[in-house]
Amino acid sequence: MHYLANPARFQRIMTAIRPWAGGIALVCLIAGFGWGLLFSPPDYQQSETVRIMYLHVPSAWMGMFIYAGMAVASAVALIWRHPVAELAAKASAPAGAAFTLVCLITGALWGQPMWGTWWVWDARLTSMLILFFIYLGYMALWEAFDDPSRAGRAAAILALVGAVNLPIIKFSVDWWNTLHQPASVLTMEGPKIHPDILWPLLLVAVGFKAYYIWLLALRVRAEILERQARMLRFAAASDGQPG
Amino acid sequence: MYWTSFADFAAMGGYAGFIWPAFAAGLILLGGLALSSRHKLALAERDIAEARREAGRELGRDT
Repeated sequence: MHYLANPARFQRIMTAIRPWAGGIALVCLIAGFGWGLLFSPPDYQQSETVRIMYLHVPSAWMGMFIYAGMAVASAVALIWRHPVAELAAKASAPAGAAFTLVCLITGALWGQPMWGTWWVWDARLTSMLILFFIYLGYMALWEAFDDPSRAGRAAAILALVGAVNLPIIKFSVDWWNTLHQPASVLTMEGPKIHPDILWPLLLVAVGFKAYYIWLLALRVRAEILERQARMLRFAAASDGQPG
Repeated sequence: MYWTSFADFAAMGGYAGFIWPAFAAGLILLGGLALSSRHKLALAERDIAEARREAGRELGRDT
């Protein structure tokens, strides 16, 4: 972990990974969505609307996965003052927010024909909406401070507190009587859905993971360069001060 | 292939009004984030080059 604390070393690794991640994302997303939209059959209950699931389910997984990563990175940044972990958490937040919003929008577009409503204050839907607001709050907190180290600490604490929401999202369908159906892929007994639907879903999930790695490499590099530029200007201004 | 014609595919069994907007939302949000992130990196690269030039000028003035 300390090996990656050096921003230059981290950038070198991420720069090498970036084109591979971008290529894998492109191939998996084209294959997954192509398979899901063109070749997979409709569901016997959901009919063609099941095709929204190829986008909705992997987006929901990514919204939670990215937040879990942010919480771990924030803990590492707080405990070991790991400079890259803090930037990785910051760079992840827009991706997490975007995936969570995609999940909420696609869920509403699936809910209207299947449940007869765009939205219900169901435990799964509400906890997912709270996750989206936590992402927005985290990003707003970074912008609320002039001092990046204070902003980083405050945002890291929020990320850790907000992690309580993750098990609530995951188990909400078991703990409460919800309109949202229980888990059908990530279960103790294994996936409960037909391979014709499962495989394209998994391909999109791999594609989204690769997209996130590509995006993270890009955004962390931008964050490191922004911080270096600020430090250079600060050092130049300090040298120019009289006395 | 599951579909018999393009019109059949576009109609999505009568659910096109829900399925295509869902995919459009995903494309706009995730594609937009990718583009804005590339733009952010390009700006940061320009900014660091400028900061290095400024620092070089400051150094030249001091010596």
